[in-house]
Amino acid sequence: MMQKNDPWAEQFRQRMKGHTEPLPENLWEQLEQELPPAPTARIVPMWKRWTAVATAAGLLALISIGTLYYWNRSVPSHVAETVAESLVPAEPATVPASMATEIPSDAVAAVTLPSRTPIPQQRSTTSSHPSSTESVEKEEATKEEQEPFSPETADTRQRPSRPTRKQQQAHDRRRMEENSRLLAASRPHAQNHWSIGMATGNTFADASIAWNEVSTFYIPNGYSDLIQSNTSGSSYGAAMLGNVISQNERTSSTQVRHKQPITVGASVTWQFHRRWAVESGLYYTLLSSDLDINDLSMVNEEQKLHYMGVPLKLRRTLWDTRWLTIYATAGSMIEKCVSAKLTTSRVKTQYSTGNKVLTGNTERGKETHTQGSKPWQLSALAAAGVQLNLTQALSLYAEPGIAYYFDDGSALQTIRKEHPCNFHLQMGLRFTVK
Amino acid sequence: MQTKTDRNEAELAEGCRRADNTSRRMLYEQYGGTLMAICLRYMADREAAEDVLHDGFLRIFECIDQFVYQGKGSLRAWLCRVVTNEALNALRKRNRQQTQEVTMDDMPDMADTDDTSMEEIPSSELMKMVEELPDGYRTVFNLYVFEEKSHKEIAELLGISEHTSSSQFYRAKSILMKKMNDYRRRKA
Repeated sequence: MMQKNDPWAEQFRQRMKGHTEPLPENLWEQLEQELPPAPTARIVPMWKRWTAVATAAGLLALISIGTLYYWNRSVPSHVAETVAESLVPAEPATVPASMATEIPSDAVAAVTLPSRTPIPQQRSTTSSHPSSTESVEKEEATKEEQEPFSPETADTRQRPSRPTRKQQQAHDRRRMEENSRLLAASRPHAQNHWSIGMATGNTFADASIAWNEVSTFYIPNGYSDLIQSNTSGSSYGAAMLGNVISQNERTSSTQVRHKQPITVGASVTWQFHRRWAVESGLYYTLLSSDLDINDLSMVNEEQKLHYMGVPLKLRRTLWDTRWLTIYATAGSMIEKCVSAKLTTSRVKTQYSTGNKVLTGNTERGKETHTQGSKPWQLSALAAAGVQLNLTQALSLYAEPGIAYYFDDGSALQTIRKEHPCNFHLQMGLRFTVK
Repeated sequence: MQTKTDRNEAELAEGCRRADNTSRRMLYEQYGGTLMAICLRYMADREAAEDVLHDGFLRIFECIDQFVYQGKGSLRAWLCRVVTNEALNALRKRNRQQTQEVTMDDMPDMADTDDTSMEEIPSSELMKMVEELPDGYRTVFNLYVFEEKSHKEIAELLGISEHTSSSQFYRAKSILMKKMNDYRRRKA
């Protein structure tokens, strides 16, 4: 530096280096009020509001239908079903047209018990009854066990029915009633079974934000090289640039587009109670955003954030039938950003100040930065679920609900920062494995 | 007087990027005094200096995402740069650049070139002396001494000739040395 040749100037500079002056009173308070807490965003509302309204209405309808059915359901119809079934000669292969749920071994045992209560002359036949009743309640696991019984059933039932048909029928009826009562008590709902599933989730919002300033995504680019003071001489260019930026500020603008997030994953459910289950899983989410700066240089940034998340949800079954299950679920999800990539494309630069034109940084091209901050994201979710039970093991489900994304404390701008509370739809398949 | 560790500077900048109020306040309190000194040096008028400081801080917090931490002292340097730009802008608006030619008669006696005299004088006094300089000389002096610009760069920045810049600096220097000597004599 030239100042090496001027020791007096250098000495003066060193002398004043640490000098500070008292700050004006109330300046901080004044600044606090004037400083914006976040970039002033004019959110262009791209909410697809009609989907939210439609789903809310749909949810309401489903829940009310479910509640009505639940209240109207009665045991007599259940009994009538089973009685009707049992009068038809039992065939092991028949898939009965009632509930698609399992009978656990305990329920099977309960059913077999009444066979002990004697009508002595029909002991041989009573033992066959439970099996015929069982075959009425279809179930995959127990079905194979029942098959050897049913031929006997047919035989044993036929033989004594000739001499004592009326008695037989009366007895049968009584047996049926007892069995159905027992069944009603033990409620053939899934207990202690596990399901796995595949799911995709969507948050129905994207956002477009524009504001009249220069801003960037988390990693600064562009101007920073010029504003920094390096070793020699360039500080002059930086001072010029500083002036230029202030003069041109009115014409600069930034536009951010957050795209709809995409989620896919796998789920695991543990049904530990008739009506309650716990669900977890592993999900991948992609958050993608674009930023365009129209300023002294044209800059386009593309941000892609990849998250892996593990949810934990509690599910309560509200209404369960052969074809349809309605439930409510709530819980939270913890996600970790595993990859964050920012791709910057820059075109041209030219600066002017007053009458003088300075050629600035004429970069052109793409750079990809891997961003340093990989935050954890916590979210809460509440939803209602509709499940179509295709077979005993396979079902299709949709869970419309609300998701809230807590601030992850990072500087990353994502759609979750713009719209933390959002309508969320998760759909998928479930397989029952036990 | 750099007393902050590398990590603190980076964290502070990061906090301000996030528009975190606590970080902003900390930055204000840590560097405010230094930045106020810069404003005063350029503006010489305390009220004007306070305005420049205010604008300077707004600019700092607006543009903090353009700062890239590059090692110890880089934050301080960046902050000073932003505030200096603000001050230069304000001066430009005030439009009091004096580009008078320097005549030889005006050059005072440069005989008293006792370098050690500076050390005995408190920095607040030196500050006052700089403030008392006429505007044009003061700006050139500041740019030359504190921003370490060459006369060529100063000339281009202020729209004056290189010769005017160097003569204005020497004029400023001689005025200051005279004041320093006067001060020593008063104190003696």
